[in-house]
Amino acid sequence: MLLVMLGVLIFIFALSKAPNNVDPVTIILGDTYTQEAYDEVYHELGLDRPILTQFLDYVWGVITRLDLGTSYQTRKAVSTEALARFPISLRISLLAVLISLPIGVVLGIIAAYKQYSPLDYTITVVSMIGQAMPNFWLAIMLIMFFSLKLKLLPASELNDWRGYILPALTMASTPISTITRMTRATMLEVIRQDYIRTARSKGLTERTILFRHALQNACIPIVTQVGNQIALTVGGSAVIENIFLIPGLGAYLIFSINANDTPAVQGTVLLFSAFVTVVNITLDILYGYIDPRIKAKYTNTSSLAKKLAKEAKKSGMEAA
Amino acid sequence: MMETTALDRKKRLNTTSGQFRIALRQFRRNKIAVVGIIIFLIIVLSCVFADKISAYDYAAQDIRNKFAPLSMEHPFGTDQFGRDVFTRMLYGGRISLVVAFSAVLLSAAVAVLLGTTAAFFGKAYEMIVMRIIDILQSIPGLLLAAAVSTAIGTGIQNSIIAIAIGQLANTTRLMYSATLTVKNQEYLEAARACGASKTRIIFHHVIKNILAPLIVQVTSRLGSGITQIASLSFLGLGVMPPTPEWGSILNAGKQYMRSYWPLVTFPGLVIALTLISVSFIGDGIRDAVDPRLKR
Amino acid sequence: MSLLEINNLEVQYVMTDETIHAVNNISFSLEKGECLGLVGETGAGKTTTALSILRLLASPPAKTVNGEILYKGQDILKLREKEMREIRGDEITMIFQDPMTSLNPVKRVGDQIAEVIMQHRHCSKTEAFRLACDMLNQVGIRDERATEFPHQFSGGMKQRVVIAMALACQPNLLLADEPTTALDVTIQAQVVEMMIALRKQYQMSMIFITHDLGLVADICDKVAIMYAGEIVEYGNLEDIYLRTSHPYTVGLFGSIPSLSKDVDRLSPIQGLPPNPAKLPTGCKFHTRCERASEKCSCDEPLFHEIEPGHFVRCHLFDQEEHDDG
Repeated sequence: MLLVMLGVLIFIFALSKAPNNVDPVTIILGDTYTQEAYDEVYHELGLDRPILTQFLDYVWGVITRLDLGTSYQTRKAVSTEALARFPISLRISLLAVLISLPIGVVLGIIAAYKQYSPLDYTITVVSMIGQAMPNFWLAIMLIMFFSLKLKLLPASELNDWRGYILPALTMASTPISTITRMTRATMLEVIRQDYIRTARSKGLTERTILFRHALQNACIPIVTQVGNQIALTVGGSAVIENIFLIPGLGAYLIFSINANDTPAVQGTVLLFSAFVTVVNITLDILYGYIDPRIKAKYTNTSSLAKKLAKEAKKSGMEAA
Repeated sequence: MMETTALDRKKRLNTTSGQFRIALRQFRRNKIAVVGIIIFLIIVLSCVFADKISAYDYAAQDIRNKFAPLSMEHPFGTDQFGRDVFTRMLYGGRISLVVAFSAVLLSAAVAVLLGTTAAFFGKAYEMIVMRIIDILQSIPGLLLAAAVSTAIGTGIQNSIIAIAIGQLANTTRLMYSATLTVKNQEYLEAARACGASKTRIIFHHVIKNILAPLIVQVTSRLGSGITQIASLSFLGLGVMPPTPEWGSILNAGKQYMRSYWPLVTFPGLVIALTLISVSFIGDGIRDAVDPRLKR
Repeated sequence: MSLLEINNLEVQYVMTDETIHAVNNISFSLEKGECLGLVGETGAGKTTTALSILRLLASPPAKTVNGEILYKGQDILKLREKEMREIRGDEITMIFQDPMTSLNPVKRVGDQIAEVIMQHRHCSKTEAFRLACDMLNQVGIRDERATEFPHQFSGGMKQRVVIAMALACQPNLLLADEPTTALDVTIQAQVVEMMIALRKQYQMSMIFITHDLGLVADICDKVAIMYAGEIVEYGNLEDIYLRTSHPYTVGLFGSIPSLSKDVDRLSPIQGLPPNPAKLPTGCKFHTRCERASEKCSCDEPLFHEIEPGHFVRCHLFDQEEHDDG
């Protein structure tokens, strides 16, 4: 995991040194400046040092002081700006996923149990539409309807809890659909398994079979999907925050990109990446608890088998 | 009097062309997928023949006519510069679709190359490639594309590359695991007698094994490709005005949301319809190709 | 009154393009403490028969078109689902072919056994778990292993767990669907011995489904040979093994490789099993039968009782019956 984070650092550092980037000095100094002023700022930013030194300095700063650099725009530490905005984005994403999880799972179970019925058909089609629908359009439509026409919910203030509703709902549209479809697909597979037949032959009620046998086995892909959706919603936050004028991390990133504020971009991407990595690690730990086989797999298996198992998990994560 | 046994039937079905025919038949049966294809074709063809369908020039400004009410001449209304929205959508579609298609295909090509070789040659090369993929995968897709845009710039070509990189990790991983499973089997078979053209056998089997998930992946990635280019343009990256593109049109419309709703509703509607139809098609393909789902 | 009586059972699987005739008009009965061997090739309808006794068939596409299954005199097919659940696991239980997939991988073994006990015996959780451990001991597994998961057991041990689970409530009837097919031969022997002992101990009736005639000789009292969804020969061990009558049964015995004799080639039954969606007319075996005549391709043979308790479904015995049909 740490290797991945290091890799990300290298990656975004390389991006920031890419040719297309606007000269940071000009951002700070503006349009008119003397050669002296230019050199001064250039030296101040440490841009005259060899690239490797700059990089190592940067990494060191991140690791030891959590210092993500200084914003060209505001001349303040990126970490303070970013970390101030991060909770807001996180709140909305979590809220969205928290709404989606129970609804999605329930709908998925219903669809699976009543496969091929009109209800299943409806749920499937609606979730397909929900998954495909671009959420920025949904956001705008919701705003037009709820805020402008009905004047029920605010479109852009986060003053109270009501401000969270529309953004969270918008962000929830994809997770609900994806979780529904994933639950449905997984449940369909699980209820065809032999051990379900065994459970039935023991005389257990359908309800017991569902909750104590089927769901626990279906959990793993669903949990994977939840983790995936958390990562995805955080990533997709940029557009939503833009529309709802929410001062979140995604909006900050876009703003920084447009302002050519390279340290800010670097720091924000790093933060996102760190978050996704943490989510993945948490998921891995969670698997060990849910599925005893996974715990066993990490004790003694051939390297190929381990590779395959890891790949299956990771592919399953992106499968929707 | 003996009917064709199950064995004969299986033999016929196991050829590649046989499987293709089955998949096609299954696809046609899927009503949703058929609807998806129809809608998608309508949209694509409209964009391709934009100049035949609409007489307007998408860049022609007519300020006096801005925010015109909906009519036969302006079924989608006009924007803040008096340009016909319908026309801009048609031409914009060309950009959006071309960028999305190209990005997805580019991404797929690189992914196949990277993924299969990584699984095949193993050792250090595999580790390096997959670590890079891990790194890429830890940055959410849209953000990755946006970040890459900062490095290489905006515009059509650069957007294609940026989006392709954004989608690369996912597809590569898929190709990698698909090849891994074949690799596991092939050593057993290849170890047997028929030594001649072992490489060819492996090649053949690898292609067969990755073809199905690849097709499914490409069709499903197309939707997110369209979303991403639209999002990028929406956010001010991607394609720059005055070049029409669905996302940037929507972005402009957002400002006038309160006063003039068509500018925001119709572009979004078209995007939504396209995405939904692509999604239906993708699902239909997935169902047709996956042998496990039989009634 | 027999413990189990099946009359004219007919089960089909209705698919989109074809209908599969899995079970075509079979009848037999089973007394208390008896073991019936149900023998036949894959696809003969054995598993479907067993599943219909417990009503575990997936209801579309499976359809019980005709017949009755009388358990202790009551027609199971007419029972309400709730009443059926009381019978499953308690009075009639089943063990399935593949032990690898029969157990829930995320639940502990002891819990899975305790579950069926709690379902039918209304005792506390601890009590049920203790009984589960006892059952494990009975099948030769130390009860410390009750807290382990299925993947920690080998194939043979898993099957023992399944057997323990099936016998936990001391059922009257055990349906065993090829319980040893997926196991190594040496493990097979152990498991079969264990089943014989347990059967004796619990005085349990059993329907033992297999395609292995050797096992049948070990464990069964009566045998029913199934082909294409029908019972083509039925009788007790002696009848079937010593006075084999139906050409199919003869073929089955003939195709077993012999340890004592040296032969150049094996002699399997020629041809392949018929497609259950397009069964042959007349006698369903006539296309592969060496002794088939014209009659065999148009008329369906009746079930003739050629000696008391020994039935054959073949035209060769049309004149040899003791009494009518």
